[in-house]
Amino acid sequence: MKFNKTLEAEATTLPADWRPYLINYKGLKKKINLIVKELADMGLDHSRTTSFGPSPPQQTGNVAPTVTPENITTSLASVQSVGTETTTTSVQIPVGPLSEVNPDLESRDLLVYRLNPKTNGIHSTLVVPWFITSSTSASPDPVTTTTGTPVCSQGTIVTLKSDTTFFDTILRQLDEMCDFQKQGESEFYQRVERLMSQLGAVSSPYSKDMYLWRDIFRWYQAAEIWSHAQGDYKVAGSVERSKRRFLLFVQYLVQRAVQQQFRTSRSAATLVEFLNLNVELLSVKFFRDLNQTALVKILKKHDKRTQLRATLAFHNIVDHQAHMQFTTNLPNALYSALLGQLLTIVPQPDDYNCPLCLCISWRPVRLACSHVFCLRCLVKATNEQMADCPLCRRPGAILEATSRNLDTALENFLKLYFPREIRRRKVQLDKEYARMEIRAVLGSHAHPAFVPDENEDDADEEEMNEIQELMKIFQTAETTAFTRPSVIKPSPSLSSKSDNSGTPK
Amino acid sequence: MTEVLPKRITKEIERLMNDPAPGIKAVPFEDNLRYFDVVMAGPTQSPFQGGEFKLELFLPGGYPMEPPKVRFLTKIYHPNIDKLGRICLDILKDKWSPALQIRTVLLSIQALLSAPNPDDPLDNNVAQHWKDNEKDAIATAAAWTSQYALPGK
Repeated sequence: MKFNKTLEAEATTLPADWRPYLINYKGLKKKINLIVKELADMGLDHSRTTSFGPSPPQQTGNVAPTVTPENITTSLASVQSVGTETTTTSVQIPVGPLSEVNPDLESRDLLVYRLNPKTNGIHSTLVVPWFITSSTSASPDPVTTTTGTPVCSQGTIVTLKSDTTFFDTILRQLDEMCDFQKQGESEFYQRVERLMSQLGAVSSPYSKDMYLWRDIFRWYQAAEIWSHAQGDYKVAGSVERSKRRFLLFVQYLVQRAVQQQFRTSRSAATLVEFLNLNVELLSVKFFRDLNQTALVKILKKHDKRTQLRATLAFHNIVDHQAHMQFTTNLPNALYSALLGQLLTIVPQPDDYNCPLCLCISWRPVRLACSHVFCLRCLVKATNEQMADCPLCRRPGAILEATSRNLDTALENFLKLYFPREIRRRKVQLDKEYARMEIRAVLGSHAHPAFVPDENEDDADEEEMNEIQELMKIFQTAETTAFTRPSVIKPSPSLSSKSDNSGTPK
Repeated sequence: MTEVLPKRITKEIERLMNDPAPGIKAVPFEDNLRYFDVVMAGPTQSPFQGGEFKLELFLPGGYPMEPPKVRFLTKIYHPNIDKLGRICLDILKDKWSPALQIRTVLLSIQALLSAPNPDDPLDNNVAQHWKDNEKDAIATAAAWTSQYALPGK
């Protein structure tokens, strides 16, 4: 399918008010035709195999141009100088490698894009080398100087009007898009902030839905909807992937009947907003990738049709423009705001495990080295004549500990935020005491019937299995989806100029 | 009677299974979850590179207040490991800490393979060999690795 059609089809999935800000691929394509025409009028059409850049090797088709002056075969060029009087000077030059004529001349010096600070546009000029206009002429004085055309040390400077318009248009569109995105960005941040305060309320220990929210966030993390967004945008189909995983996450929420389990209507509303923000993020990312692809494609088309290798020059100019944020990762910024805040709002019990029993610290004791353990674990350690901190080996840290080392603030925090885990741990410990006592009385041959078993504390394992199951679901989704052809090609980065496969004709 | 496995051991096993340390495989016996079959890859840049070493690991009743018992089953030429596969490593003895885990113990043993310590020998002959002619000792260790520790043996 032609990229133009693909782009139009994809655009319909974007919010309506975003569509005008997509790169106008169709319009730009028409502008390229104008450039080709202008060049042809000047006698520089590439049907004459004349090129000011190295011509791509014929046998491989559209290979990315490589700069090797030796390749350049300037066979014939007719130049019409653009001056006040339109005198036509057609000069033929001998066939031969460019390097022979002028070894210092690098072909990329011929095309000059300069940023015009007044208009913020690009001024596109072409330097037509002296040897083209004058080498066979017996007179050392080139004809062009008489016509008042600007010259430089290397040749005649020709302004490419339609090429200038072409790039002006692109830059203007990018600027507009940036402004639009900036506006969207601040709106998004406001929404994130609002959502965070709502979340803070509904997932607080004083909310009845705290545990449910904790589950939701655990699933959300397991879903890894955005994890690829953290660095590598080149990962194949990353938007597709995010979309797929997000859908699975939503399906999972539905399957677990989360909405029905909420005890407050506020929680329900917050979840909806949370999901909406994710959808928005998907759109931003999609929009960005689509634009990126369109830009790369139109530049490639430009270079191919006109033989003016502008892509490189364009990147240089775009990179130097401070206001150009096209390459910054807007979705990335938004995502980190979202995740960063989510994680601080919802503590997970595993972060408060005692390093000895690997369970949540029960009656936490903070040693002089500020490492925290369960009171009971430290008592066990003392019984084994251990004196030093088990983590840092600080001498005598356990021996010196007294009741003042009980960290009541932490204990209260844990009771508040992890009431279920604490309760469960207490039951476990009580049974452990009971077992020890029974063994102490009956010896190690106690009949199992007398010993309380531990089947009450399976909650942890259930949680574990559930997460694993979840990961499996997402994993399978991944593998099946990769075999499906995606409609739009994965976002090519601006710099990937070696991609030659999909250039539209 | 079947013993009740402490929560800590269950958790360690879970993590060993789901997120194994690189180059280390530890699988508990089905009928005795305190007993592990371990396969350790010889560290790169050591004479044990390319070898696969089998070990056994046992968690005594006092674990984690007492250290696990670990022994090499594969023959290995190393100054801190004797003919019976016993390992001379401080954290397995007086430097044990209950904050250490199966995972950290096995990683320490792997590190010991990378950095033999002939000054604290378990096998005096091997240690002497290492001190007198390290190059030759390393060659012997490499020869033993390819003779006894090739994968699949």
